[in-house]
Amino acid sequence: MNSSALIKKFRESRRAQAIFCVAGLAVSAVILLSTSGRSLGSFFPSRSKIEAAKKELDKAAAELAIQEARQHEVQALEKSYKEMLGSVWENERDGDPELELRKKIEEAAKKYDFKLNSIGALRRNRINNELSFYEVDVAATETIELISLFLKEVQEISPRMYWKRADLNPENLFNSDRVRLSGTIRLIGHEAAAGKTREVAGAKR
Amino acid sequence: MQFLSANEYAVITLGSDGTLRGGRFKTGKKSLAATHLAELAPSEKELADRLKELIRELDLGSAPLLIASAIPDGSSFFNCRTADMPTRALASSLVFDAQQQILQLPADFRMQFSTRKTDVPGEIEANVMLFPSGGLAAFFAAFGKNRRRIDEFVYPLLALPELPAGEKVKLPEFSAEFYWQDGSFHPAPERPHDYNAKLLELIRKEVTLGEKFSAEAARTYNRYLTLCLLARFAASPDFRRHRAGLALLPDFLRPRRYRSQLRIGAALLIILIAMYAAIGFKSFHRNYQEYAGLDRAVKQARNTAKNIQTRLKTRDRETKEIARIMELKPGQYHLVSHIADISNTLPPEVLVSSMRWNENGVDMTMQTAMENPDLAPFVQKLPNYKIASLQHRQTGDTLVTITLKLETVPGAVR
Repeated sequence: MNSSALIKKFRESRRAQAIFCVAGLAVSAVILLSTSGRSLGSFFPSRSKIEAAKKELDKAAAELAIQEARQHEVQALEKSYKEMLGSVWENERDGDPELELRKKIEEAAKKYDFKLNSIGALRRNRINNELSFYEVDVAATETIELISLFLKEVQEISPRMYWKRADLNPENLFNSDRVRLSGTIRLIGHEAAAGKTREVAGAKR
Repeated sequence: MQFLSANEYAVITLGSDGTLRGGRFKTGKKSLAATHLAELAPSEKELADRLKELIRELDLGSAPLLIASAIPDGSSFFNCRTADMPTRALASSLVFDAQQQILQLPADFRMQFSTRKTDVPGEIEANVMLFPSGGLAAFFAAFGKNRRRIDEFVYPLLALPELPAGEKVKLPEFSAEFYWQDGSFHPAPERPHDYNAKLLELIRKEVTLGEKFSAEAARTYNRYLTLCLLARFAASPDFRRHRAGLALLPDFLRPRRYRSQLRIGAALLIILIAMYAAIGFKSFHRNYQEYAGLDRAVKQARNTAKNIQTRLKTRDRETKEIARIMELKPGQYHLVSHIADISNTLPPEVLVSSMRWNENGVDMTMQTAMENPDLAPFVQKLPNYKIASLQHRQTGDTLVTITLKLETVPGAVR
């Protein structure tokens, strides 16, 4: 019987079919294992493998804790930023700062009959595409009590205003109760990019 | 299993004429007692069916040790004297003797023998039975059909005790035409003869019949002589010694007690294996669950960390910009409360001549008439500032000018 006939006879025999089925099962198992990304050893884990997995888990948990801490930091920063943005000058809401800012300072002074010697022109210093510092120089000579009231009133103005610098010197060191105030009021202004509007979280005037 | 520990025996014999005989014996303090005896004459029924009937009649439901006996087709029997040697060597030696004793040995034969010590030291007397291997096939097959296993097969003459010379032995299982005497078969004379005299005397002493047999004791003893002989042989203390030479049962008739013990042993082994397998599986399952849980947790932690990292990375530029903006110092918001704090902290003897606020802190110039003014303890109480520099300068006879530079501390309320 020649070899091809032998092969054909073998192929048609029960043994060949059994061998084919077993081989097919084995190949399927190997393929399934490899595609599942697991090794045969993972089905029969030893104690040492479990201990190694525990160490891996500790490492992964530590790394996750680091990432989560970073995430919390970033979230806290973003929250602070949003809160800060709630207190910035918005042109759409607060008006043109060139006019309205000066108006607000003058109204604060007027309340206590505080005489301002001068209010400077608005200066803009860009922070980024959307944010700028708006600065206005003010000068006055009044009693320390009035100055305190004025400072308190400026603190109450919305949006929030800061003193970039403030110099307080007695008008006359020995026989005057008047103090010269010279300072720069600064605030943050937001100018939305062209075509964009921004919601200020929780902002209400 | 030790026959010595048994107290009940059953014996079934098949005579050369087809008669089935059976009996149950119980060991007593001094003798064996026959409790049941039965005989079935030959009939046209199958041997297996007749055997079934006999077994039922003897009530072999409980488990007495069962000895079977028959006259195999084509069997030969002889006795000889030979040297005392181990069983295997003795068997070979007896085969050699058989070739001299028997005219023509079957090509395929089975052999069974029993031995007895003689007066000569180192010498034994052997009773040997040979038969063609198929000679008991039908007999064993009948037991197989009835699912009845046998503890031992014993050729009747192997169970003979030592008898005086000249004793004529005629067992009912054998052909009536022959008797056994002094090591060979002899044709039986036509007229009645006194057979089994000493044998019966011995059997009567050692085997008692039940009450229902006592009426015809003589006849009963004669009729069931082979049964009594075999029961006595099996119950004897040194029967154990003979067993190696008697072994010829086919596998399917292996003694049921032995088979039961094997079954019990196998069952216990299976239970043990199953128990260890269960423990092993439990351990494997616990390990697998633990490992799978750990693996899952590791993957989850890594995935979550990776997702967070990816998210943070995509927003990294934006975050940096926000951080930069938040670090900007627009200035002092709570100016009036800070002024109040400083004012409340400084001693009243100090006059502030200049106060300059900026993004980083406050510079102050003060005058005082205090001698050796020490403002540090006062100023250190300020919550939002720390002393950057503190200098004193005598500017007059009584006037001291103090230059104080305060820095805003990180996290201060602005």
